[in-house]
Amino acid sequence: MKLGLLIDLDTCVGCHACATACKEWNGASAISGPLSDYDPYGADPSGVWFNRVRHYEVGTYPDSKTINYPMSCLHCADAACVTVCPTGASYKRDDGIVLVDQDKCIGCNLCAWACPYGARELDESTGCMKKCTLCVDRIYDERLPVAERQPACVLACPTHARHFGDYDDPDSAVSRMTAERGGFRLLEELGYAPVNRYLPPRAPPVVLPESDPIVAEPATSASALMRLVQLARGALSR
Amino acid sequence: MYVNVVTAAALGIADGDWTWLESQHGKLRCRIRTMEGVEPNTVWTWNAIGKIPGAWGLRTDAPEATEGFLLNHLIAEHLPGNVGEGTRRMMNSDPITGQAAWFDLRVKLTKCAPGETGAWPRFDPLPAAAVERPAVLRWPQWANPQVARSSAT
Amino acid sequence: MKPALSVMVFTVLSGAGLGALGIVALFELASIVGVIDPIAPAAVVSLAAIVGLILVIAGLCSSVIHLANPKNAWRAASRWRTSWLSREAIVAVATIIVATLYVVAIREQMHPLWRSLLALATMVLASATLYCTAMIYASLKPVRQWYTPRVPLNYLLLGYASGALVAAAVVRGHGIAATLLAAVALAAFALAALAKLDYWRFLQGPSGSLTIEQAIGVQHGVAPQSVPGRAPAPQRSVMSARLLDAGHSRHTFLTDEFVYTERSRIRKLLQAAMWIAGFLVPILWLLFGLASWQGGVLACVACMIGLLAERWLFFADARHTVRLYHGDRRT
Repeated sequence: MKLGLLIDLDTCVGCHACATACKEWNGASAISGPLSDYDPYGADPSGVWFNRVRHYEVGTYPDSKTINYPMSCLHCADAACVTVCPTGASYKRDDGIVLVDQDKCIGCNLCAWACPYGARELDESTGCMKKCTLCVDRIYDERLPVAERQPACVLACPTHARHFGDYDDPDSAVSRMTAERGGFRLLEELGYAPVNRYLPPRAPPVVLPESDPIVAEPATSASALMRLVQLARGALSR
Repeated sequence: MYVNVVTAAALGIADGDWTWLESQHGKLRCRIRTMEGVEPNTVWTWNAIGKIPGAWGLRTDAPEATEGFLLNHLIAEHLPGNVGEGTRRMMNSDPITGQAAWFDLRVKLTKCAPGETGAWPRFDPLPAAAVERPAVLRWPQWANPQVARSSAT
Repeated sequence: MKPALSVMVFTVLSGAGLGALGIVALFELASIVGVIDPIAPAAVVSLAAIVGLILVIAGLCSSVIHLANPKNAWRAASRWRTSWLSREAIVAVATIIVATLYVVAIREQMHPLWRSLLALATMVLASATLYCTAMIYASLKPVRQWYTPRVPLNYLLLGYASGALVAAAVVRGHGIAATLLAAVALAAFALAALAKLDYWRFLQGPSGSLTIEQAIGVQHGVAPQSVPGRAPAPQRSVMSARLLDAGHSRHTFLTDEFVYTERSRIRKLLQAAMWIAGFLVPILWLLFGLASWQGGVLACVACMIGLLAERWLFFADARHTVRLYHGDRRT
């Protein structure tokens, strides 16, 4: 079993709902305990987050593209954090989830150094490393309806850019979407085999010169329907 | 305030610089960030980050008060027009939704002189809120409302 | 990488202590076998080993200070199958135990067979501890400045050089064998200097460097858009990427720990401190000042300070891949 997330960079709008939902859920979770915030009311606020959304630009105007990049633990198949942990606090379960045992962690930071993705953060008030738990306390909670047995971030995403499933199951949504749309791993060359994948963003819109022809679309029932919709819209807008 | 890279360079402003942003109605000070993905003659921001010192129970040195800015100060509430007895002034807002009309505001962007940093205009702090402001916030564990709601089937 | 003082003190003190134990054991072994005369009377030799032991223990205490949650520290040896830190914990403790027995063996003038076995064991374990400590860093792929055999080589050489210096400072210049010890120390410093220069040259090169485009998966460009009714878009050439917004307006654990860059002026100062205090002063004492015990103490203290500077640079020069997600263009 290889549970993980699939994040659609094409659809993500960078709203940080997933990051906030994660922070809120884990405040009530018994797995890692609350995620501390330091100086939250003052001049230098910071805090522990399992999920962070960063924003990048690719290319130059007018052909640039903004990519919103949510990143949380990728639950690597060959996790470096598990290899280097001296106490065994960092461990990988049979279902693929990598967790940090808060009772064993000595806060040596070595796992944070070993993780190329910055997935782990030290909670200074407990002295232990914390990271995404893949909402292990949600996905197996039988008090929740089946549809809600998913990570909080997946449920919160307003554009459905996050998907959860088993990559070992070729029929799961995450496996199918990865195959269909070329889902990729981050920093694959380091060899940690991250399980979470990302679906690539589409290219920035092409700024066409005026001479570029618009190719006529062959008539299909779908396009006839579209023309009908456009007619209706035109009629309604007056 | 996000500004196109080329535009900023033409104005002699670098990423992270403090700048004066002026409209016909008002003026404020803000930091700029340069980016590619904005039309060269347009600037944009996430508005309403700026707060009066003490708002939201924050301390008066919180960045919302010391660095945040509010575009509202640049935008008049009424459209220019006849002011006098018997005339109603039109609100400067979208006619369908009533929301403030940001998109047709023309602004002038100039680099601040050295030492001109920090949010401007500044306001007197709100009276200190009677709220606990811990240095380390560990949002307490409670019976998670999501679980409670869902288990009520 | 943020240089952590407790880790730096640990590696410098323990490195010197382990080197001292290893060198003293090596010379003892050689003298038992008959290749050379003893470098000093048994009491002095045992003193050198004791000083080494004290340095190792002091270093290990410092390393415990680095832990954010030390109450679980006793678990640190449990993952020796995969973790270099676990392995280091085990061999470090073993070294202390064996070295203590070795000191007893010297002082009690035990049978040469016991002394030579314990000397051999001390040498092997001290070297293994130096190696395991260095491998903690050298096994980390996300830090290309560390993921090289040069790191354990440098650490072993600096450990032996500083350790031989400490031993020579205790033993000083009595007899040919003691002079040989000083010569070995000089050779170690020379080799360590060469290794350091080679390491810095290696840092300048592109070996293993990753880019921000690789980090976010756009190194082959962004996929072409297909729009119904339009001719297919031309394949985009590879575009460069940059950080627009890190998603937080102030610092985080990641920026505190990894996005640390010291000013170049500080770097030059530290390099100067390393060469002068860490190499020049010890070398001068070894060449000309062996008779003076005050000079020896000065040389040891200077060496530790110089090596602290070297360790600071080791951390500050590290460019973890997480920096690619925070604004760096390449590691």
